[in-house]
Amino acid sequence: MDKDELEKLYTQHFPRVYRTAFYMTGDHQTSEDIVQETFLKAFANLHKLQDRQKFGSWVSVIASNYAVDLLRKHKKIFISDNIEEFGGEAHDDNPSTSLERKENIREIREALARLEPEDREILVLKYFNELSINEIASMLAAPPGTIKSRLFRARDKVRLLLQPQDGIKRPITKEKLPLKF
Amino acid sequence: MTRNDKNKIDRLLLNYYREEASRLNLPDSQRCWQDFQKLLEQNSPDNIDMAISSPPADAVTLKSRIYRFAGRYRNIAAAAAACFLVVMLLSGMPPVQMLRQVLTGTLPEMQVVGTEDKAAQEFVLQTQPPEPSPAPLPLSEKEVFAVKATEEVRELVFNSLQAYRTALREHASLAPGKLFYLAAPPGGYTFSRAAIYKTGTSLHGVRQEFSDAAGNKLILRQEFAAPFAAKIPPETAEAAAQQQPETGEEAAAYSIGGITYAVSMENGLITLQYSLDNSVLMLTAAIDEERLRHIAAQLAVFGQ
Repeated sequence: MDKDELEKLYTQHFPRVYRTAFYMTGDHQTSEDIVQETFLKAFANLHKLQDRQKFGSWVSVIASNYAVDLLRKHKKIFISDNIEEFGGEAHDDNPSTSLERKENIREIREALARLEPEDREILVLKYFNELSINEIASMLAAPPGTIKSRLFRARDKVRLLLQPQDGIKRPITKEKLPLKF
Repeated sequence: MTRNDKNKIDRLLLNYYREEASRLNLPDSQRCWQDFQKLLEQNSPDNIDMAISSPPADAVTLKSRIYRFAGRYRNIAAAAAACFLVVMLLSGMPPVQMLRQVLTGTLPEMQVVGTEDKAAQEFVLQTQPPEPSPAPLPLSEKEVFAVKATEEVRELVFNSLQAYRTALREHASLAPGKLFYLAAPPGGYTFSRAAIYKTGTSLHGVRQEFSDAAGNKLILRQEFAAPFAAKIPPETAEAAAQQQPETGEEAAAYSIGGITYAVSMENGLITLQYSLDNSVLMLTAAIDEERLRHIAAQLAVFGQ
């Protein structure tokens, strides 16, 4: 494999790895660092990958794993209230629908940010990378049953965080988040 | 959580990530590739060159190998357990006592008398005496002294992972068992040095040292021959790790090849110690146990 092929792999999978890192950390600079470290690890261990077709999934798992390590080490996550930081709003003709959607997205984002990194990792792998339980299990070297229960727990936490309390749907403010900035 | 809730959350999260994916501004991948190339030059490109030039090998992680093994032989294991249960029921011996005797090879001859017709039927189950195992012959004190006097352990030190790997290839045949190593620095660490401890005819130990940005060390050591273990320079935490901790926590959840490990802690340094067939493997760092276990899961067997 020559440098051109490496570049091809890098550019082809860059968006997916970057998004994985961003959904784990919520910070652009940290995500760039994670991407670089991830590809460094991936290329150094490319000979260990049996099926090159699975490079995308494999490299995403490396990225999410590395992000978990980083988050656990620094106990830090960045949440942006500013939807534009994510790249701007989705266009919608109806302003009220757009506002509601914006609010919903913000709530989900904040709920995800409240999760433990390991919970967020399993959701990113399952719902963003759309990996199956077995794929996640084999790449995280864990039994499928463990992945299933981790996924169940993470999903349940999201459900509870999104549940309106006392029948009133309160917005989660940045100050209420139990995270260190 | 009901199935309805589950499906709702499923849809919500799928849609959320899809929408966010289309909205997120990505940095320029070409600029990142340029930066990445600089990083490649700084981070031992030999390592990467070697990795990418070698053919894809069957080098899945240790843990996934264990799960695959467990999956493949579960029927045999179940059959063995069933046989054990039958023999246990026939003998009428308490299970713990019997298991202990089977494991230590001291199961006595068993006589089981049929209950239906005591006069006519008598079943005698005889266990075969255990095959004498080819245990290594113990060296007499004189012989050990002679070995010590004539074979000096040499320390070969390497400043690059590539050079260490090349040297391992040359010396692996001298090792009495599998050689474990970290093929790449764990996340957040860079390679510092590695060493091989050997005589002319045998390999006595290997050691890899990594450090993070703050200078904290992560050390992997594997020792093969007890008489020479003292020759490997001990460090504060490693000296503690050489001894089986009396109050150390035993855990079976993570293991190498199904072997449990002991955990010891001293001066904020945690050591995971694995007792393998012919060697002791120790992983030491000033990080939490879970992360250290995570690093242990990245250990690879050299040459596989």
